[in-house]
Amino acid sequence: MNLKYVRKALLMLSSAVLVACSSHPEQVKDSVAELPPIFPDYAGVTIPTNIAPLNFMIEGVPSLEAVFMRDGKELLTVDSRKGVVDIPISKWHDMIKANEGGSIQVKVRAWGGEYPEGVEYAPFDIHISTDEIDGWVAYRLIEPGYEGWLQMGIYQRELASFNEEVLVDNSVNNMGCVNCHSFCSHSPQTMMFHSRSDNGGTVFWQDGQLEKINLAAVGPKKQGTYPRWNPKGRYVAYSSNLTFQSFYAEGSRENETYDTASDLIILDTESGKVLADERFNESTRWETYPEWSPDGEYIYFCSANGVQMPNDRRNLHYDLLRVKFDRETMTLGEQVDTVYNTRIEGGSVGYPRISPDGQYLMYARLAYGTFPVWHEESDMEMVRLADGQKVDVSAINSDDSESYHSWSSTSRWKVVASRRLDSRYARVYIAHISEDGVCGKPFLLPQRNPLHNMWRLKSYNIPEFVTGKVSLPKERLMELLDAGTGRDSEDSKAQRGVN
Amino acid sequence: MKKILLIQSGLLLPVVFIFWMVTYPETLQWMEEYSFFSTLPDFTHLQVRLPGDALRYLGAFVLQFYRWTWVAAAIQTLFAWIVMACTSYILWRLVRVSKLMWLAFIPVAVLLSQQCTYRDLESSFVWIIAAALAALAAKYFVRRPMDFFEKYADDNAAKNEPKGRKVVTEPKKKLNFKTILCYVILPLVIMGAGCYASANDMDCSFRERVHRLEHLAEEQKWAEILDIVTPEVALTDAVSKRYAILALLETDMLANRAFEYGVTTPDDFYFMDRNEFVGIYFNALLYKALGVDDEVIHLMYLLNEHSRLGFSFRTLRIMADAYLRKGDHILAEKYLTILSHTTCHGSWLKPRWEQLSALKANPVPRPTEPSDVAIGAHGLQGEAQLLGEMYRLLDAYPSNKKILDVLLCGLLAVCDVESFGKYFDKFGPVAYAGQKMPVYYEDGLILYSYIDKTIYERFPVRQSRLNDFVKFSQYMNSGQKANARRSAPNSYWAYMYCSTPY
Repeated sequence: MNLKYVRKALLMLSSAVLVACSSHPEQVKDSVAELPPIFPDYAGVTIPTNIAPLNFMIEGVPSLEAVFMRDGKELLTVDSRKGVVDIPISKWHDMIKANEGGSIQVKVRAWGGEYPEGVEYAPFDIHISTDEIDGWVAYRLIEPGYEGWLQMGIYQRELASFNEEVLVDNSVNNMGCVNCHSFCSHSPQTMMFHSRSDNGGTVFWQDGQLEKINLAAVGPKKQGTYPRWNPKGRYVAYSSNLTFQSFYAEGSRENETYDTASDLIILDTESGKVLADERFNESTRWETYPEWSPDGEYIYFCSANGVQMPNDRRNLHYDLLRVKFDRETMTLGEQVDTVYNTRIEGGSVGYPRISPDGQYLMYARLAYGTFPVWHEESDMEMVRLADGQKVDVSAINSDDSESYHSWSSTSRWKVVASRRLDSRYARVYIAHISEDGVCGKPFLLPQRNPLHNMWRLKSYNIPEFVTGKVSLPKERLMELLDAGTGRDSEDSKAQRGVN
Repeated sequence: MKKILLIQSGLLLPVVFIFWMVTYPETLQWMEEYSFFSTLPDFTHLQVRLPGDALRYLGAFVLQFYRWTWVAAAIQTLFAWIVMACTSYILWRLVRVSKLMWLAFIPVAVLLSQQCTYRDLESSFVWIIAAALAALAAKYFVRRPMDFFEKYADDNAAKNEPKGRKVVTEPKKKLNFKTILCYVILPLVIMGAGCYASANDMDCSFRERVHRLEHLAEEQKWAEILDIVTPEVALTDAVSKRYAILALLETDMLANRAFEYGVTTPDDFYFMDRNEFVGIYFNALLYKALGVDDEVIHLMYLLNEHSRLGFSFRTLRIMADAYLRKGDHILAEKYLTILSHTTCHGSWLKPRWEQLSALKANPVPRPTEPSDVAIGAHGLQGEAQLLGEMYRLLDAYPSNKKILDVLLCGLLAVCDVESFGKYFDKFGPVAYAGQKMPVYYEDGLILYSYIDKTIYERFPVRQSRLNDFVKFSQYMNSGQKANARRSAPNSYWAYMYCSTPY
């Protein structure tokens, strides 16, 4: 009997607390036919099931209510906290899983801003795809400012939660540079990145072992820049770039990043041998941004006739070429195919990426030059490889730069770095690409507080899907990279033929 | 002990506070400017991974209050007081001789002599942590001399059998010279030595001077800069010289007085080596004066690298202002929002929020095309770099008089009279329409008239100046260089023919 009263009392108390916490009245005075101006804009996006809650807000509105529905049936109602609809993570996942393959509708009511007495907006849809997405995205975080940095690192974000962890940062190499991470077929077990510091080199993580090689000291003695791991393993293609920056005094762009030379090399991670085919290692023609076909049989790369930089930058146009690669003999074929010809199609190509199923090729197209990140006109384009036809992916693009992008291992998702929020800081967007090439509206990588996207003073660089979490042994990393104590291991030197 | 601590505090607190307020006020302000602290999660998330994290984080938290010099001086004083108090306690535990308590001021003097070299508070924290740990050790591990006697006396009292030893009680102190010496004079002398060592630290004094110039330039107090940096000072101090030249540029006096301040090369207008904070910051001030905000922002990113936290209050404030000037309300709002998550920026932000609202109400159209003018372009090295940039900038801003002045004075500095004349001929009519021509330009045009005899038709030069040149030439032709210089002391000819190896 007593327990019953206690329960009742608790129930009343909790109801009172809930009422006290609710910062808005039950009813709204107005309703409008417009979609709610939420940030980030999640209206009509297609999401995977293992994505973190799409928390959102409306600028200047302190109180919101979001009702998630399926066919008119209420699934979940979330009141905002400090103006943010912060969806409970387990309830979100339950709801998304239960509605996989369908759509949910979100009805938003808002009190504040233009509507102090409340407004109900037209509901918007969120489509839940059955296509799987890799569990993690790895990216570098660095200030989007030019030549210098103090702290930078490569981080990994679990897509199903808000968990962001350090993969490797420059505390391991005396605040040097860590960049250009590349994974073999999205595997967290096989990856590489460059460490630029006094004791730098390219660090390989394979079979649970960390090793370092200084590419500038082996074979043709060329520094590796933009890497791409052959999907079948063993080989890594690099462009070797001599890169500079110029700064504009005014106008729409602050910076022009360009090469004054760049070549193509391929490293055999088993023998340590480096292939530098003469055709792609001469000074009049510049090669960059290598990419492999999914079967590892072809290497694609961007290539341009060298010009006087930076003065002739507007005349620098990178074609997209491909050449056959013989894995047995580690040689490149005689025939070089032109996949994208800038003399016919105009512009310049960067970051070519082929879907793992081999169906599509996506690349960044900019007006000229080699660095889409700083080119506000840079957009994604996609070609169906079977017939060479362009596929419309304009849904991904914006008025600002779309630059680095990569495919999920399932070929159904794209992650793209875009500067659309403020023209300066790149943020990560994820878009669904159906099997027949229909591109969904991209959504901003969810954050617990959406304003995190505005507050963060670093840019997302080289977002890459990874199938799991990467765990590098930090002590071994320090040993390899720390300028004071780091060194190449003798085993590693022997394996790679490093003298 | 309490009485002694009160006397010691009464000595230390005003002395150390006044020392900081008088000797290093600008350095204290600078410490805040190069630090950063925010309540935003990203700051904590990323910063705690840096080496020395906890103390750095704590130091960054405290440093935000250094925005007000008196608060900064009070905190610096608190550090010294904690060290003194802990040392006093240790001495009391160890010897309990009140006349030796002046020894507690020795570590204070050492701290004072060192503190001006610290760019953040980590080292100061190490001092007070070490002092506090030592005091704790003294409390728990040192057996006080008095403990034994007190216990002995208590035991005897309990037994009512006083025997042998007597309880030692300190006699009442008389105010004699020895007492004044130990309680007042020696502590003051020791603190004075610490203050003297600090005030005479060449590096610290130099930094204080530089920071004073930086702050005066920020506040656009150009006359004060020129009061501090006389031509004589400019000849001996390269940093001061550049600030004086910036002040001349801002007050439209560059072409009348630059050579007085010892300009010998275009490099004197800025710092070629941008890879340190004094030079980078000065260059940002120069480009701000020239109206090139994109370069100001670029330089702020470079400056961030020199902050121990990756970015700083100063760079964020400057970037917010630069974006407001540029009319980019999105990025201006970003930086203002970030600064609104700091503790001490309320009054700084208020007028800027208003500026931002006005900007949002009347947005500036975003440029759609990149400029053709590149700054710091690859391949341009050495002396020609600044002049090269000014050439390019002048193409973009043909009516910008400050850019023209830097270019023309730079050309005069390298004795390129022909280029000077051509550029003056091209841009002078716009920049100097209806204005009195500066002295050096008159002097330069007189020389240029030997190349282009028609120049006077377009730019008439005062007859008195022509007469001065005739007199100067006569002296020079008769080998009387000193007299020539005396006849036209602040002339371009005196610089060109009497001061340079050209």
